[in-house]
Amino acid sequence: MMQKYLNPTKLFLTFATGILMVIQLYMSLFYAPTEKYMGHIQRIMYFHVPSAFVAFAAFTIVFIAGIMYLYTKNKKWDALAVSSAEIGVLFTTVVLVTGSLWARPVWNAWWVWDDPRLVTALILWFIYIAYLLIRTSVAGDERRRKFAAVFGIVGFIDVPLVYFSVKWWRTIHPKVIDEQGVHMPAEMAQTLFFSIFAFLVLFITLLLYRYVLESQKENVNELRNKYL
Amino acid sequence: MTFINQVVLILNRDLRIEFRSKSLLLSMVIFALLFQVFLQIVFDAKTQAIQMIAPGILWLPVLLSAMLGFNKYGSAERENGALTGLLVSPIDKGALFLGKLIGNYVLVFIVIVTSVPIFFLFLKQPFPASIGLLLTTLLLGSWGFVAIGVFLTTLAHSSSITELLVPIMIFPLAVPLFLAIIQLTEMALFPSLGMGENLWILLLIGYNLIFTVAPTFLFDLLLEV
Repeated sequence: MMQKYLNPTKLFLTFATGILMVIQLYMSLFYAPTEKYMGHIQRIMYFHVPSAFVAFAAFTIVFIAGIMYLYTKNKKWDALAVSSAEIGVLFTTVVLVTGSLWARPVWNAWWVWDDPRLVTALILWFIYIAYLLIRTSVAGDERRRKFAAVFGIVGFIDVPLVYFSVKWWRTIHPKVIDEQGVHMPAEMAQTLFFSIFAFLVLFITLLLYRYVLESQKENVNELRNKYL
Repeated sequence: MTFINQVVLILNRDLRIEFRSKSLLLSMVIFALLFQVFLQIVFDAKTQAIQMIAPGILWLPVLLSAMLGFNKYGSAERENGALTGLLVSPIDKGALFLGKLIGNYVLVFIVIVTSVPIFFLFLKQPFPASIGLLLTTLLLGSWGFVAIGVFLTTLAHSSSITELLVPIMIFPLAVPLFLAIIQLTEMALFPSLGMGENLWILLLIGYNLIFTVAPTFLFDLLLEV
């Protein structure tokens, strides 16, 4: 039974996440060199890019867990999907906010419609807000789970369509803003990759806690239905 | 009974009910026309500036009218246990979806036939540069929107906030569709901008295929929801 290993795993992960996040903060604030043109504002990247990775990982899990739920009808997959979706929405919000903070001084605008990644992130955010709304508004457990699973799958399939259509939409128009170069000093790249790693561990920890909470909620419900 | 026959049967049945009362169809058409007028007023449409917003003004009344129709189409099923009767009948669930989809499409098509000429009449718009492209866009674009609409409305019928949840689900998922129809309509209306239209038509066809074929096979599952 997995239950036996759950608590030690939780403790270990929490501890590891704490250490990793402290190192991540140190690396992104002190170790990484200051960028020549953008200055300190560039350090937002070490939080922005990892959050985007986490958000994408989270929505991929919603997609896979949705398929597995429809296939096996096991409630565990649904608990995993809803936990992951909530964390995904949270980190997409972080991506949008940090992106805007960075773009204001660098692009001189809070928001631009020219980059497919921006628009896709925004649409993604709306899709999974709808997913969470479904979870709160549909009566009947079985029904809600199936509905959410189908929508989670369809929403994920839609993401590449959104990305490419926004890309084509904007390539027909003149491109105002170009991507910045991928060249960066080794310290920056190290910091970025370490940040991505640290954020992914953070994600797994959050997911585990949220998943355990969801399962416990389920257990309490079952006990209540049984004895009250 | 073959699959096609079943589709036709459902379609006939739904349209007969719809055309007997005509209240849904009439209100959809009236709403589209009214919204058309409303848009002209709020944007204070001048011929010079129209190039920027013309595709939006052409499509918004059609899309919103279709959206309001999704919930009401087949609302008769909810009375006297008609839905249960329909579900126990030996009809393939995929045929049921396609029948409902085509029925809804017929209504939206009638809305288009009335609303789009009115658009040209109000706008003092020069005749479209490519009427073929405009027709293709109208037919393909509204099919995709109706397909995803019927699909999501069926899913959402068990929600306590169906009327609000349906647009909240449809709009983000339909972003690729909206981009394609707006681009294509712009190319169809104004001659100078035409380029890359094949790409958009391909996107439309792909989108329509995904949201027609997938629900047809999944409808069995969805109806349990």
